[in-house]
Amino acid sequence: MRRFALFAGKRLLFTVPQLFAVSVIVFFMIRLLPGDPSYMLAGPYASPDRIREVRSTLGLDQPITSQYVRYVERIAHGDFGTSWRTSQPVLNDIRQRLPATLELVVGAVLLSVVIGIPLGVAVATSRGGVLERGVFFYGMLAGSLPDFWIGLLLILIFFYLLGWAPAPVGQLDFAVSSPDHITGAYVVDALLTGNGPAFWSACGQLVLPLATLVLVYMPLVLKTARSTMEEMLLSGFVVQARASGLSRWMQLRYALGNALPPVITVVGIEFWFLLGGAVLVETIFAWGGLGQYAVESVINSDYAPIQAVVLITAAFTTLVFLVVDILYYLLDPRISV
Amino acid sequence: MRPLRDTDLWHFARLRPGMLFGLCVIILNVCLAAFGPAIAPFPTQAPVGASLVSPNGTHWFGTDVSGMDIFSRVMAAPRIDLTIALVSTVIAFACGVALGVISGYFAQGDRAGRIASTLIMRIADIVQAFPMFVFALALVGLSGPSTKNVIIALAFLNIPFFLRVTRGTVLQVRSRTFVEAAICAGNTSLRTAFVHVMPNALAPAMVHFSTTVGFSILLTAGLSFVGAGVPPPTPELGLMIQVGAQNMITGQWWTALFPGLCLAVTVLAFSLFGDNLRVFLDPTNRR
Amino acid sequence: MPALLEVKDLTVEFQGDRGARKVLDGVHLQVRDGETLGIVGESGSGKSVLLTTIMGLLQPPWRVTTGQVRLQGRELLTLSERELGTIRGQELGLALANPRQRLNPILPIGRQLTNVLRAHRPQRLDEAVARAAELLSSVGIPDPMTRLQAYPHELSGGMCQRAILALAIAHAPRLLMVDEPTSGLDVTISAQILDLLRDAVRTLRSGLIVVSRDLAIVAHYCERVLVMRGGRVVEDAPVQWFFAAPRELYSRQLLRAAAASRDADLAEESAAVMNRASGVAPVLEVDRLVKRFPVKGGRLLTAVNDVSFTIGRGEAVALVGESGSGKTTVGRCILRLIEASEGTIRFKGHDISLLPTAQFRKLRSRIQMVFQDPFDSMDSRQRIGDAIMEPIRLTKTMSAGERRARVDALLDLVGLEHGSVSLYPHQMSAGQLQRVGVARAIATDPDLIVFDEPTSALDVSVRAEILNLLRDLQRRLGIAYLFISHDLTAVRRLCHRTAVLYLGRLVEVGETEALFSEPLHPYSRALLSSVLYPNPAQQRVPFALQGEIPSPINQPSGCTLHARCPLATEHCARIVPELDIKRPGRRLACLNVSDAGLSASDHVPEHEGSGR
Repeated sequence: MRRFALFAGKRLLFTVPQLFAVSVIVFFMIRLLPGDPSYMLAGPYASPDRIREVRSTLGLDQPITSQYVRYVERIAHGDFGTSWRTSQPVLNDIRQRLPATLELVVGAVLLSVVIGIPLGVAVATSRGGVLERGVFFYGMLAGSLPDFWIGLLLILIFFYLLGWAPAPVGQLDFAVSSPDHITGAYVVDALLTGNGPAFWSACGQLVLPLATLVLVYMPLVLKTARSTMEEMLLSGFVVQARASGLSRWMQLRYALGNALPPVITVVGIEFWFLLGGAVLVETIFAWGGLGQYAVESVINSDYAPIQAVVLITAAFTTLVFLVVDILYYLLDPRISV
Repeated sequence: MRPLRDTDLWHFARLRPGMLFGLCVIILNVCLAAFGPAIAPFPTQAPVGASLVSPNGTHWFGTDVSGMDIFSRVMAAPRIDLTIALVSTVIAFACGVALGVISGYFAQGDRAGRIASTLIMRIADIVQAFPMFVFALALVGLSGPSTKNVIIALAFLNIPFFLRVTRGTVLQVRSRTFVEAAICAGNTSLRTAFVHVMPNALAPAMVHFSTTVGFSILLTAGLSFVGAGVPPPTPELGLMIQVGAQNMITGQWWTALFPGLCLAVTVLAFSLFGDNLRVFLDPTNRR
Repeated sequence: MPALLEVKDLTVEFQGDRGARKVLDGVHLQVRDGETLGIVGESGSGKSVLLTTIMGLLQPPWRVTTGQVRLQGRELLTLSERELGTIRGQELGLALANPRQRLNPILPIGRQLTNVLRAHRPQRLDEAVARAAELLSSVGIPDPMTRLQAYPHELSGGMCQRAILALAIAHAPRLLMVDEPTSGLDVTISAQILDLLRDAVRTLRSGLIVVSRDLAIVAHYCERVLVMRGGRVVEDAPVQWFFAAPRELYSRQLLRAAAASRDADLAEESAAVMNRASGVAPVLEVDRLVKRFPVKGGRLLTAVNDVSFTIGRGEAVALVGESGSGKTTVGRCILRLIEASEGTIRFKGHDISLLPTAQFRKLRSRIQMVFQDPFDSMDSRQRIGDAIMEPIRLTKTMSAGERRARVDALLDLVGLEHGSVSLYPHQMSAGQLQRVGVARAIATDPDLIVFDEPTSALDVSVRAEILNLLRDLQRRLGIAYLFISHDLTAVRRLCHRTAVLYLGRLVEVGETEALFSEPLHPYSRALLSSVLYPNPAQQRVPFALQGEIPSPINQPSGCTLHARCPLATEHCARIVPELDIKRPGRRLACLNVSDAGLSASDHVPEHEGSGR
């Protein structure tokens, strides 16, 4: 237990310089890339005086280090600036949109794990058969399906042709009012407040985007679970376990215990990728999440929200990899503190 | 690992349908990138018929909302998509491998070497702390959507992957005694690293090259799909899917189906080719 | 009475892409109750597949085509997996080779033992734990209650082998089968493991099959021997008969290659070398060399500690010791592949330890190295010709034509065909490649070659050829050798003088023949008495050390051997013995061996059996 605390503490400490570096990059990203935001803000016909004025309100005329210090101070107070498109503080916008994205991403990752790992193990232990061939071909698709296209196909089939799914209009159907705000994720909020109509509507809306993400990103987990499990079943210690007369069940447990760490890494990578990659699916389903917010900001050259979104997703990534490392440590005694 | 001869690769490909499929689609893509716009039956950036005509003898894949021929545009698309993906991947490969060799070879060297090696890795860590698509979106969005900027952004984001796979193998190769033998023969460290170690550590990066080209095509299309890639009306798969998306929901399925199918098949081909290349290059996988 | 195990006409095929290949071909064998059978053969002879088949562990693409395997009259090949499960571990125990890979890396040893114990006899966990601790102590693992909590990666190779044996004997099987029980282990540890194995089988009164490529093990621990080659049984005979008069040609070849013939000229020659070398500066003087490596947790690992020795012109000096003794590190420091922490290294009188890298590179043509694994030491993408030419090209000025002529001459010297230049390493055998390694080392006419275990990765027969080549080249070219090895038979054949290393310190240095026939230091005595010769008549006078080699990170105080040494007194724990001349031509680091040598009771007889 003390060893674990030591490990977790050290690993946590390690995230501090990482977050610091992330903030530096986000800060300089805008300043190093071509294009001066003050020209953009002041408009194409602004006089030089007007531009200077904008520069000074943005603090761009100060030395770059003091700009950075000010930037970090503001972030520490939760001030990510104001979006000039929505005229809202960026923090407010993000508060609304982040839970929607997390609902999608967390749901997709959980489902990938719950379906992908057992399926991978099942295929690794069975020899031949239809299941194996099917999973083999499905696994080949890992990472090569355009998720936005699959989403469109699902809409075409289940909404337009079959009429089973609701229209892709966001997190709730038009006629349903949103549940009281607790976490921000509608499914969870509706469940917590016992809001039946909102719950079913939110669930219905969630099915297709979630199915898209799972369909496209689960093969990675599935493939890894299958191949590591196959490798472990042939490994020296499983053969020795078999030679010692251990039951098939015990052999499987030995193999699975050793196969899990790489799978966890892949799940972490999926999470990392989806934090950014869900953008496209959000756009198709008009989800109103963080990704869509980023896209709208990029198209309208709205700098403050872009910075904030990049910063927040990076912070989440750091958190995800922290969790992955800690799980890895718990599963594999060979990791040293 | 044994040195390669092209005849080996051909024999190997013939036994594996996945490899053969990948190879054929890749060759087709390269041909289309070279000649596609020239041999397309219709102009690729102008309306050539009525809006939203369903697939027929003249317009094999139908026409889109502004009346452009989808088949012609699909034929012309590899010139944009493949060029962006290939150029960005080549840049990422060159930089990533070079940095990977340096950081791997000098990881156990003298003090200066170790510092350089650690520094390279830390920077890669930080670049990879950003979710890829959002970072690409921000980079392209901030520098302005254009082919050049998409290439730069993709190259930049892919460098750490090449860096890591190369570094990993370099660390393994570095521990083999032929490296010491090379030093005993009178090689300098840099010469040993790039003349002896690098050729023996290229295989994973080569495998990754193919997969990355496919993945970059996907990213390029994704960026264009949300409007942060190449500007319309360029014949580009992501743009075509975006234009078709609204029609797809109302039942004009051909508008987005065919470009998407081409995209999926192309990306799949590159990833299958990469997968099989790994098997081919790894002697322990061959019986 | 039926035999304990009876294998009849067993044939196993490997189903590959290019059709089926017989891996076992009509194998017959019998083991009686309490009998010990040794199976020997070179790599690829099918001996490991045989064990796997008996155990019913074969999986596709391997397949039994014909034959019977009967354990106490019961046919095993037709049993279901479930029925086999009750026999495996209970009546048949199997300890597979490469022990470290055979233990589940994420479970403590104790859990792995209790799992096996409870698999066959349902029992409460605390009972199983108590039994597991008993098992561990019965295989010689000290402090078993603590060790039960240990994970495999926390154990040494020898400990892992013991743990695997504990797994295999957990249910006192009727027949125990052990695959390569000592591969990868040091000689002193191997001796302990083999003794343990013999004692365990005696206590359990069970049969034993030992599979090994080492004839010496079979000679000393088995009653009967089975020689295998290409999946067939070549010879099956009682050990005494076999070693006295092997019937088959292949057996005779094996025995001849394994036997160490002593070179009678070596002693005279060594005197001549000494004479010639006196008066001129030695080729190499190593003075108080220390090498420390930083390890995790900010501690230091002292791999080489205060080592001093010299090599005269044309002299062959051996550096022997077990793994962790630092012998390889010494070689790498001399070549400047790693930098020494302290001490000086003089080459022909010039200090080279502080020379800038660029300047030392010019000296590389004078000092060369030959490596252990011939495949590993070749760039697999470089043609043989280029590999040999590279040192010439980088350190000498020669025209392309001269270089090619030089390469041809070198190939002649090492006994390879001129056509080899265009080959790639994977197209050659291990023995041929090691010849290339030698050619590369002598390409620049060096004054000194460091050999790092040049024969230990080779099969027995090839080993003898390479040793002959090295011996021959040394005589003809007069190059000084530093021969780093744990293969003591090779050392005895090749080297004029021998230096023994233990935990980074030199414990004894002397003329090879004298040192081998009368080792004075307790460690040298233990080392030499652990060496088995392929001759059952060899009288082993066990001079055993206790326990395992300590970690070089926490070195014992005083004499590093004191905790394991039977001669140790209380002084040994405090005083670090200096390497002093105790006899003409013999330096020794021990407090308890006096100048006069050994008392009569301690006398170690000559290790016979080495000469045939």
